[in-house]
Amino acid sequence: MKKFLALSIAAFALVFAVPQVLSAADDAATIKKNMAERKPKIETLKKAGSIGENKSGYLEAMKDAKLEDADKTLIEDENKDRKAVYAAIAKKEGSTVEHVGELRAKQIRSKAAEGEFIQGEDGKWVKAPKPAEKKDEKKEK
Amino acid sequence: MKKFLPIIAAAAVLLGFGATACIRTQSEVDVKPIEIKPVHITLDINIKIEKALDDFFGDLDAL
Repeated sequence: MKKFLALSIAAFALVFAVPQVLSAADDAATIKKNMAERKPKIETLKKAGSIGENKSGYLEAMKDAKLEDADKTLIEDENKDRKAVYAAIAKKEGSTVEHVGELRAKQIRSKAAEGEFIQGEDGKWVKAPKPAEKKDEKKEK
Repeated sequence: MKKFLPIIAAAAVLLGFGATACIRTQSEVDVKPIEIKPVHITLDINIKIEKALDDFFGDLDAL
């Protein structure tokens, strides 16, 4: 009877626990893969000035931007995946999704290509300067 | 005079005890608890978060 109970518990754990552990890693790999696939299109939209990076760490359509439904879906999917990543990191480090997003936004701003729309911490939308100018700004600060 | 010497000695000893009884010393050692200021904790967490973001997005940003 004891053996049967032990085997039952082990089987239960295998059926329910292991897939949950695997699925978390699979989710991260899937998200990364999807983000890599979306990146070229996102870069195109950024260069066109249709979308920008907001201060919360998400993509945002610019005013008067004419986006196709497919582009809107792409932005939504990208933001959804970003939020999932931020949530995972926030849970791990004991922070909030919002704070992780803000820190990611800061990283994105520092790496933004010239001319892309980025939202500063003050909420103002600006075009990213040349990389050399960014270094000068850092020195001035 | 010699008769009074023991009395004087005894009186001196008693006065000495009395003096030490009156002299009180007190010392206090302040042991302050160790404080970890909130600013330091925030900075540590931010560093960890930034590293986690770099670990995940590093490859993607390099594309």
